[in-house]
Parts: sequence; C-alpha cells; structure tokens
Amino acid sequence: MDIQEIRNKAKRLLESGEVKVVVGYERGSTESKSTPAFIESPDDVDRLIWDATCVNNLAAYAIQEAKNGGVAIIARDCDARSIVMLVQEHQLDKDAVRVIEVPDETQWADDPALPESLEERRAFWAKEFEKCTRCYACRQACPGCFCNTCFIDRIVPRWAAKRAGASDAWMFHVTRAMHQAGRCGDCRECSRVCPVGIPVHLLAREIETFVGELFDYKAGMDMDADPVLGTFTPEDPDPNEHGG
Amino acid sequence: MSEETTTIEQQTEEQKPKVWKPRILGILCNWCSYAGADLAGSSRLQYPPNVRIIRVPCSGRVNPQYIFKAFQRGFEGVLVLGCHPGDCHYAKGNYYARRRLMLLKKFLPSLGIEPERFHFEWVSASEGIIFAEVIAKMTKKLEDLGPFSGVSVVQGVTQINTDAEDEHR
Ligand code: SF4
Ligand code: SF4
Ligand code: SF4
Ligand code: FES
Repeated sequence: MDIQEIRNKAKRLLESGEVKVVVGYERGSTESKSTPAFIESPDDVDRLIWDATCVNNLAAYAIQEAKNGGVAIIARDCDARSIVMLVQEHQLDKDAVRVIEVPDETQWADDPALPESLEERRAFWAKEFEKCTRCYACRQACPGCFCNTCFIDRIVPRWAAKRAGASDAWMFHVTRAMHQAGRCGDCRECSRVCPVGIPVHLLAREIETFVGELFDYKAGMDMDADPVLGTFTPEDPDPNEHGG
Repeated sequence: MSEETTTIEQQTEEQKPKVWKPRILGILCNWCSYAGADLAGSSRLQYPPNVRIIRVPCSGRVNPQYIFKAFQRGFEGVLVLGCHPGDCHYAKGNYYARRRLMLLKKFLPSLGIEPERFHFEWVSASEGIIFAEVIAKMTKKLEDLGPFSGVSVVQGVTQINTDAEDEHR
C-alpha cells in the first residue's frame, strides 16, 4: 500500500475533526526499527511510515487514546480484529474509533510446533515457563488484556506466587490464554515482546482453534456479536455427548 | 479452596496411605450434585474416599482458574458437577459453564494434560447412585493413568506448590 494513501487518510480524519489522534508508525532509533507514532496535527502526517519494520499491534493503545476524543488506528487484519473485539467487549465505543486498514506485510517468524505426545508437551511448556521472568510484557502488549487489575496481581486470593519459576508461570500463562478465548486475533505481539523468547501466543492460538471448532466463532469479526463465552445456545456441545 | 488443599497436603503427609489413590478435587453445585453426594453418603453407597469436595452455589460459579490451580497443586483429577441443562436454579448458569468447561477440556491436551483428568457432568439431587458411579469411574480412569507428575516437570524435577509458599511471596 502506498504510504501517501495512508497519510492522506490520516490527514482527512484529523482535518475533519473526526479523530483527535492517529496512531501509526514512524521511523525508530535506527533504519531497521519503527516506533508507534501519535499524530495529532494534520501537518505531521508525513512522519507516518508503513513497511516491514512496522510490527506492533497498535490496538493496545485504543482504549487509552479513545478517552481523549476519537482515535484512528493503522491496523493489519489481525490488529483490526483486536479493535472489533474491544468494541464487542464494551471497552471501546465504536463511534470513537476509526481503522485505517493496511495490508499485512509482516515477515512472521516460524512458529515452533507443539510436540506430539502429551508428556513431551508438558515438558515443552515447563521448559519454556522456566525461562519466564514474570515481567508481564506479554500481558501489557496484548490488546485482549485490558483489565484494570489482572488476576495475577490480586493479593486475595493469590493465584500464584510472584517469584519466577515454571509452576507459577504456568498458572499465569494458561489462565491468561483462557482469558483470551474469543479475543485473540493472532497478532503474536505477546511472543514478540517477550524478552526471553517464549512462544506464548501458541497457547492463545490453541484456544482460538477450539473456540472455532466448538462454537463456530472467530475473534473480532463482528462488532455486534456477543463475546463467545458471554453467551450460549441450548444446543451447544454437551459433555455427555462427548464421552464426558 | 486454600483450606481444602492444605487439608489434603497434611492428610497425605500424616496418614501416608499404603495404596496409592488418585486425589480428586470435586467442585459441586449446591442445589443438585452436592445434594446428590449427600444422598450417596446418607444412603451409605460405597464410593472411593479420595475426593475432596468444594461446594459452589452454581456450576456457573466455576472459574476455569480453579481447575488450573488444582492441577498446578498436583491433583490427579478435577471433577465439576452441575444441574442438568434446564434445571439450573439461576436458569442459565450451567449453560455458561458448559461453554467454558468444554473449551477447557479441549485445551488440556495442548498443555500436555490428559483430558480424562478433567470430568464434568450433570448430576441431580436425586442421583446419588450416579454420583457414586461417576466417582468410581473417574477414580478407575485416574488409577490407570497413574500419578500426575505436575505441570512443571523440567528434567525430572517436579515443583508442586503448597499454600504456605504462595502466601509468603
Ligand atoms: S491475564 Fe486475564 S485478568 Fe490478566 S489482564 Fe489478561 S485478561 Fe485480564
Ligand atoms: S497473539 Fe498474543 S498479544 Fe496478540 S491478541 Fe493473541 S494473545 Fe494477545
Ligand atoms: S513477556 Fe515473556 S518473560 Fe515476560 S511475563 Fe511474558 S512470557 Fe514471561
Ligand atoms: S444451580 Fe446447579 S448448576 Fe446452576
């Protein structure tokens, strides 16, 4: 997509007053990096860039920026799904947000495959979570993690100890993945920001696969749809039909 | 939940059962299955005594975190029982629960946990016999699977937390 087209759209939205800020990307500290840009004046739209260095899911800024008036966000397909999800979850007023769609040109890194046997899988995750420093960057970067107080920060009840260690990290990550049911658009931001390279997005991706299989639901596709775990039908898959 | 687990930790320590029995955490709806369990008890139906029961007001109150927490603490199996669809005292609680718990059951293998370690089903207040059967069947399945080595086995080292550890951090 032509960068000029993106800049023009941003300019129009700011000039018309439809939005107060456009969240996009600008050149970072080096040529090989981009950084999120918050453009508030039509005169600044030339700072915007769009190339392979633009990888962050900017939907993570949507809630905060929408509070100061309308916000437009430059979004790939997966990021746009996060924005739709936030509207569905009543975190974002749909009139306060515009999406400037851009084609997905990200060079996605190869994903490690989950091992075949259950025993190996358990060991796989234990080995990964052993590395977790509990910095919570994954959670902070994830648009689906919008809670004011995360369960893991609660004192009563305490769901896991605060120290690093595979067992407590397991508790954090599997619960976080479950909380992403129907919210994850597979932007892989959680894994990208992890300082120790844990592929945490695989957990949320597994959850989304099963959400699709069980409830024929895909996250962030329809602003007017109820979140998948916030609704039901009497005909839903039943434990007794599935061998309990 | 914390009191329950402490009791079990202590019990395994103190009683040192000679025959290994899988430890099951049962989370039961007050209005149906808990009453069913009560009936099973008062009718003196035989069922293996290795279940620790938590009573909840409705299966809709069962947060998936309870189940993860139980596995993290090393329970061999977790059981959730609620009122039959259509019979929930809060009308819809079990329908919401069904979505969450079906999803959780499918997710367990992604974590390397056998799906048989988690069971959920509908058991009414009058189904004391069914309650006893469910426990017996699950116990048998878990015995076949064998002890659960925990969620954090890295190179043969198992880390299972106790309440005391959680609270001192
Ligand atoms: S992990 Fe769960 S509780 Fe924590 S911020 Fe994310 S969604 Fe909220
Ligand atoms: S891939 Fe990770 S960061 Fe992106 S929505 Fe899913 S869980 Fe959140
Ligand atoms: S970003 Fe990585 S190290 Fe930090 S809490 Fe998440 S998984 Fe752990
Ligand atoms: S009251 Fe028993 S499941 Fe809702």
